[in-house]
Amino acid sequence: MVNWEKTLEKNYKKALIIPFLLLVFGLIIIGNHFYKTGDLFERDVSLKGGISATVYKENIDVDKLQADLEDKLKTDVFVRNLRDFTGNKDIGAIVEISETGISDKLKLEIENSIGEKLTKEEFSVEEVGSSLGEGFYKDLIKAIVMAFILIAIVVFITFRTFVPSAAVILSAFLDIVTPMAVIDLLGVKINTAGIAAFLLIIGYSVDTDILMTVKVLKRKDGGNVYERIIDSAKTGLTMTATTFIALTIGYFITNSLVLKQMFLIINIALITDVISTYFMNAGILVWYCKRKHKDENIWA
Amino acid sequence: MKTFGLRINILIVVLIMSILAIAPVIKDGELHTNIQKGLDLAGGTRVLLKPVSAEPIQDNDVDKLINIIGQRLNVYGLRDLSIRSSVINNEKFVLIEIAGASKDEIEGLISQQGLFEAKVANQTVFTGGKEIPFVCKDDGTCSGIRSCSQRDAGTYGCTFDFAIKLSPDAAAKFAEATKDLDIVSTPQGGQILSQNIDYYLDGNFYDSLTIAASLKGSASTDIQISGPGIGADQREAFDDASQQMKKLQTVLETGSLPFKLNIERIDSISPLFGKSFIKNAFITGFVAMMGVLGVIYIRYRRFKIVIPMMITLISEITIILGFASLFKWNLDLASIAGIIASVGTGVDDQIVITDETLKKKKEEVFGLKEKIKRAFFIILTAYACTVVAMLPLIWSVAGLLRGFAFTTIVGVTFGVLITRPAFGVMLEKLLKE
Repeated sequence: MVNWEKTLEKNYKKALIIPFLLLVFGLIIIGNHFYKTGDLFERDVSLKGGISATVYKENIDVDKLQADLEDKLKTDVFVRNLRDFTGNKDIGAIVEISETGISDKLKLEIENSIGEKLTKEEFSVEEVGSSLGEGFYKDLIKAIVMAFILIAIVVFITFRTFVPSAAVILSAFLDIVTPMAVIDLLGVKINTAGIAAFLLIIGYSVDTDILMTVKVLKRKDGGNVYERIIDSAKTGLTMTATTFIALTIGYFITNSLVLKQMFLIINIALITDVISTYFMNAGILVWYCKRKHKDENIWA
Repeated sequence: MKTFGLRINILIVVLIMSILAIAPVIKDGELHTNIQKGLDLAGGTRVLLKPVSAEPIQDNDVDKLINIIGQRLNVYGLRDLSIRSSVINNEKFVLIEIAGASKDEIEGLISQQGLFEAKVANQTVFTGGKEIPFVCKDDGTCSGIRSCSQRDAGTYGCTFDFAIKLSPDAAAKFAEATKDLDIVSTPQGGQILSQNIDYYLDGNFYDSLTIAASLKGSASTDIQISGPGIGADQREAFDDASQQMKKLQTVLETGSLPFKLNIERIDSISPLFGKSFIKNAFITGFVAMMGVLGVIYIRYRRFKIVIPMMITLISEITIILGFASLFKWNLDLASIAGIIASVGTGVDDQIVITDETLKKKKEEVFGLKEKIKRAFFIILTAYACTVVAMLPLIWSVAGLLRGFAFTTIVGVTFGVLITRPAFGVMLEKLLKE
């Protein structure tokens, strides 16, 4: 058996390099994206404006549909398949364009391309004005910043010491930066619900950190710092594993693209959270305890 | 041990209440419940409108606007709707959600400010709203589509007309405007006035009617309103005319909106997605739960832990759905995400409780209450964080994600107050045996 306590004691300083590099690379990727596009990440129709139409017809040739629409509408068209994994078949297609005001024309051209009339039931359309999309985007960014500040307040009230609280917040920050960078690299377009996922990350991310910090700083029992951290890691990693499994299953089975994106973002954050909690926050806690609590029984 | 019995009793009572609230019954082989499906699951139309005005728009202006839009949609026959004001990035908006209505109908009803004017010789005699106390609708004797004919090759037209009553003031204006007009003869031999009555909607010419000579200078309160409908064939023209008539009747009855409205977002959602989604969500939820319980089993190797966890998970979902049914809130896709989120924190909390309880077995230093208290310090801090992370969403983006934030908050609150303490007790009892 690996002696995890010893491993942690020996390597906690070296381990800090990994989250540090992750943070730096993450910020570089996002910074680069921001520099090139003026946005932190690519936004979909709901945050940028445009039309998103869903056609519920089985076995649509998406490549043909895309080519036909681009030819007819003279604008960039983005077409995806809509798959139902439980029935394991294509149930339709999603068409996105960045123009507005042409949803009737879009419907007509889709009908022309697939050679069939679409009933009211077979066609869903969402149309978002570009100024509104912009408003949504700004609103949501504000919400993320707001949530972050509120959580920081809760954490500071709970622990009432600067370094451990700051470590929890930094961990949450890394958990947001990394998925955002990965999303940028993958070229995923974020929708409104995707941003809600980022808000959830902030909430989820601090759970494991709070667990660890409480065990290290607020308990009179539980052995030395290393034992306490390893003990909390057992609980914390079980928590992460269950959520990860549930969301991975959800990602593959759900037929809602909105939920799919949320699950993807949260899962990237969960993987990041293992690094940010046990490689970074743990290291900071050990270092903090060494400076502040030299004589106490947590070194026993 | 009585207090611990109490916790489980509370859970059972709340569960029974939730199931009663959901009231699941199987009728004709289909499951019916009190759970109300939101727009993205039931299908319908969602419109986000921005009032446009040169002057700053006050809150009570928006209230007035919402009032008239509500009336208009109601008069039109749309009942299952919700209208509310919202603020996005410091600008005022109106959000309307209507179950089962089509995009075209709504668009026509609200994109028009609906300023109706009737003019004789360029003089306004009456406008929509207050000056029209009665509009004849759904009554074949005084409203209907009167004639259809081919206009050009490939274009058919139908004409509708319906009767209205004018207020005495408006009737007096009509008398004033017609008293000096000449009487002329029509080719068919009828006697009419030299000027028509012209109808304008939002400043655009809508239709024109001749005025019978007998009405000259009379303060008649009975007036005919007419208008056209067109289409590629007679049927389309007929449908168009009946829709136009219904819209015009609605606009006349409710008057014009205080602002011009820009449609900023319009979603028209097919009910098909909702149907397949709900079936899929059940399967996804079930498989995901099995996955979670699988991880729990691998970690603890004891069904005595897996089973109370499963009971707790199912209880939490049931209670959230019960709450949603009781308060008749619409469960949309975002709310489903909220349920997933709160159940996710539920599993996390149960793992914390389990680990604290199991440790007790080794270290008998602390009493049971102390153990649960220790677990709940962590749980409550995590709870506070989840709640504050969701709070900004309640007021953000026109409340489109309110369902998500609200469900998550409600779910974790019930979890922390009811299901998770009960889980602690269940676990205690099972592990003691």
